[in-house]
Amino acid sequence: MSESTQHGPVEILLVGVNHLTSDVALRDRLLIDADKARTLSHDLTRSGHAREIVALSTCHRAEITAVVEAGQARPAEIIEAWSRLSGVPPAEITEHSYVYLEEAAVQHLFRVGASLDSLVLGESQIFGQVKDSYEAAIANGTVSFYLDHIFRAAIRVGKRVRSETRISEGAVSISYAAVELAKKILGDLSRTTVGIIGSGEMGALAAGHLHKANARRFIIFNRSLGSAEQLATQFQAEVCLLDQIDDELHRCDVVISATDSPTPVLTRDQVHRALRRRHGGRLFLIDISAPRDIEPAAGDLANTYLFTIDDLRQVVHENETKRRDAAAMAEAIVQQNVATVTAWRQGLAVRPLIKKLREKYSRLAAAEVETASRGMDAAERERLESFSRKLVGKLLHGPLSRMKEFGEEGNGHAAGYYANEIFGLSDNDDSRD
Amino acid sequence: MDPFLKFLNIAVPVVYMGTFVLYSRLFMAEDEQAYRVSTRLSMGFALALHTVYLLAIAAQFDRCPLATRAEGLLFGAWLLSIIHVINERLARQESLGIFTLLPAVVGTSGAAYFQDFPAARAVTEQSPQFVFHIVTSLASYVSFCVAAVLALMYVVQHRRLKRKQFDVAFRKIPSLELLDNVAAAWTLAGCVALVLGALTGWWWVQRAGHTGSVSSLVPLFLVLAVFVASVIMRTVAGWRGIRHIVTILIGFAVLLAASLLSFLKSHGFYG
Repeated sequence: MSESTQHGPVEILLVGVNHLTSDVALRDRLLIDADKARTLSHDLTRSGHAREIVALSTCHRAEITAVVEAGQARPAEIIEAWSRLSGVPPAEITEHSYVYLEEAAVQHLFRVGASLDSLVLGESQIFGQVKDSYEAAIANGTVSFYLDHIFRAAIRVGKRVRSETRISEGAVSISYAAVELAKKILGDLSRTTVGIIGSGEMGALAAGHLHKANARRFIIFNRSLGSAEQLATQFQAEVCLLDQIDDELHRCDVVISATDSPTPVLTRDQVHRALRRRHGGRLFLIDISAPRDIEPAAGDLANTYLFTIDDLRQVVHENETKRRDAAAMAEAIVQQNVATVTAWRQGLAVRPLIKKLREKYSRLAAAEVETASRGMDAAERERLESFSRKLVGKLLHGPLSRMKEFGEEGNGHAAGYYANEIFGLSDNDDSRD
Repeated sequence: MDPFLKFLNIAVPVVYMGTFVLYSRLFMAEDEQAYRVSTRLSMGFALALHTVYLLAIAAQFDRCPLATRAEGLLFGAWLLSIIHVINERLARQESLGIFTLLPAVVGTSGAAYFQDFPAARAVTEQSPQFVFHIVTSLASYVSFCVAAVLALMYVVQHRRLKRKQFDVAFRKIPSLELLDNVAAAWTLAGCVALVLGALTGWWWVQRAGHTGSVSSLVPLFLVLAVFVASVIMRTVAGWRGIRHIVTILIGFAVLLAASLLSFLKSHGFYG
């Protein structure tokens, strides 16, 4: 990436919409797919409205992060370009969007990457989406010095939050809670058999999550074979009549019941008989129907674990609480990294000065070496040059480090003043490329 | 007692206790990452110090460090520590040390209390068969101990699932399936080691001309009977879950009772 600092100071600008500021219909219209991202980025960079652009678009948000010339941060120009691309009037975008500048923009980006701004706190998809948007922008050629550094930092923050906090741990949906519990009871689900009582949507949803967690054998118990066909095809499942449940229940390790039967379809005695045939093999029963499909007394049997929808909600609630607790730690990581990026940007202000100083004294040293090395052979001259380079480096190390610190503390002007007063740096000491 | 051995006699259990405290902190912590490195380092140091202690006894007295019950406890605790480290790698988590390291803490503490370092034993009692018998016997006890610890963890997790308690213990303890299977594996290993130990012990007794009493073997057979029954019921009758776990715990209770009785009756192994 080429440094762009010699083109003057810049500002970071972020414009976006999310699930809090807009409805799904508007977000659909403002979606920025790969082609639109390319068009938008080139539109804004070629017109000079932005130097760097990254467009992020997911189901719950669409955001444009831009690097613009300092003092020329105009969200309206970005919104107009977005409007031309999406067909949504600028006024409508403005009404539902948010704008962040500078440190606030960096903070928002880091929070997004750490899933602190997500609809589901700690969801894992957004991290990959931020990464993908950054990589797409690199491919489009619209990422350079600043956004490269900032997005790399955002990715690091996302990784740190995931590895150092529990923000992504624990299921926060009923179906995932069922999968978590199944894993706690049965371990590896690839060798388990899942029985589904009923062919309704709720049961299918829970079964779908178990299938994603590698459960591969499914048996569907239904009052009629025909209505279970679609579900059977989806999971490549066997289909049995509900009357046959006594004969087949012992084969199941997990049973999901979600019928609309007014009376229990699975009794304690049926479960007991199945357990005897399983020789104590564990049985996980999930009853997500109302009224209950499985007699509560079935849960009292030795190797049976019966969970109702209320129990699963309790699991979800506790996980949500833990994620909220973890969010505080995640916010601290975000703040820490925002401060690091801010210090980095402030430090950039003194880089030209440091370069000037180094070059001035290198030139002085080279001139002295030239004079002193007359009559020396090549080897001696080389040694003298090496000595002078090292001496200049050691002598300047302290002052340059201090200047860098000044810059990172936001005192770039003070650094410039002292450099001029002490080292006699002036506009005549231009760097040579 | 040699000052270095005296120091190690105290240091080893103290370091294990400190490591146990670190494991407890790791288990209770929301952010395990913050404590993982220090816990691992402490465990490594404890095991290294323990190994040095055993080697120091061997070097000081020019014999295998298995002459007394105390040394047996020490050696057994060492095997337990190694098994604990293996289990950590297999389960890929460090939060279980609070359970699996506790027997090692108890073992080293007991060894420190009862330690008196008798001089070299008679040559015949230090024969390879004797040493093999002692090592395999200890390995069997340690395996049964690990199986019992895993069985206890199963019971803890089982109760949490039954009571719908989703606390720290629920999150940190592995799946019932894993605990059941690994406990079964260590039970089988313990049975194999105990049979080997019993056979070599009998062989050594015959060769050394000792007269061992049959009654002293009754506890051994009881322990073996319970654990072998557990293995058979699992492999032949397909026993799983609480039934299987209870047999392991019964077997371990018999083992503890037999060991305590034997320890109280004599000081050395064949004293």
